[in-house]
Amino acid sequence: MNKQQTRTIKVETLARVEGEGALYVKLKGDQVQDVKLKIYEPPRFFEAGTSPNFPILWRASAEFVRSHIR
Amino acid sequence: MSSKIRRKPRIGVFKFASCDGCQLSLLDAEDELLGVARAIDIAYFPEASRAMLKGPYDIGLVEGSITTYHDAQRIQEVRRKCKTLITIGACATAGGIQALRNWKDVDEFIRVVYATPKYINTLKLSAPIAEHVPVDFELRGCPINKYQLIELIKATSAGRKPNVPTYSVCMECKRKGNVCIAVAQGIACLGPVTQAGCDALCPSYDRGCYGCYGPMESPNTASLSNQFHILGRDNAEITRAFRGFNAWAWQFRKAGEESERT
Ligand code: SF4
Ligand code: SF4
Ligand code: SF4
Repeated sequence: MNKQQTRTIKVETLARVEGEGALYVKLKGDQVQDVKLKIYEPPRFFEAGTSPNFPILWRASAEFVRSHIR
Repeated sequence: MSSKIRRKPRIGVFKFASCDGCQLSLLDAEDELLGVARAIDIAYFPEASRAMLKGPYDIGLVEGSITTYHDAQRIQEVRRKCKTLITIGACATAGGIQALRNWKDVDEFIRVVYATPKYINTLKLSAPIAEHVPVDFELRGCPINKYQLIELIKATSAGRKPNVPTYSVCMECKRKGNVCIAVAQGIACLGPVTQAGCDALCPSYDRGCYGCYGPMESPNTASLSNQFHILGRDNAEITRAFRGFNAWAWQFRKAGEESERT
């Protein structure tokens, strides 16, 4: 392979990277010049449920589920 | 037999804000899938195949809710390309668990969850697909039942009405011969107001239904809330009971807000 040859790899849809995403890689010879990873999966904010700032709704759903398992 | 060969319906599967669980039900239908694959032509299904054929599609299966500006535009385009549009799962039919943020300030959530909030692009509400475009059929559940999905695809391809009942989980529960856990054990169960489809999964294992199939056709939520009071639940707990995967479905939303006010 030509050492100076530039190649780009574009993957428009990666099905399972924190949801859906896209990848762009640019190579010159065997050297990576640029990498871009884009996650376009919309956020769903589950992590907020683990935050003590939002105890009411988020935790509570889980608590309710627990409370009605005997 | 008619000499006319019926063309296989072309199907597209589209994802919005969701966890993929519902579309994977189609892949999970192992034994049935071969039969399904013979009867349909999967033209667009990025989760399963790299072949991404252009529309129009006879049937569009849409998973997930609308939570970004870009998705609000994209669903319009998907609608234009699909003759019949079917939404699958609680995210697509009711806004999903992510709709819990509809009662909160989303900007605060962004700050709590993400290190660089400016990268995050989201709308204030998580909305069901039907709030954006007309929908031909809504299949419920979190996740959906694969047998209901197959029935729905078959019925739609054949141009008949799908056999997807809209009565409550209690009907299935009684049919299985379960002893009612609400009556016998005092467990708060949302079965009476929740649509059937799961074969009364949770009550069959001594757990209360938490409403993942969404409201049944005529849910008497006021009466159930009252029953929960009798079982010793307070208003805050009752509000939480209705705030699950289908919190934004209007019947559950109304019931939750009513308990919140009192
Ligand atoms: S309804 Fe439930 S299983 Fe289906 S995509 Fe949404 S979160 Fe996943
Ligand atoms: S256990 Fe729940 S779903 Fe079953 S009959 Fe009783 S209330 Fe209905
Ligand atoms: S019993 Fe209720 S919560 Fe459990 S799977 Fe069925 S609808 Fe969902």
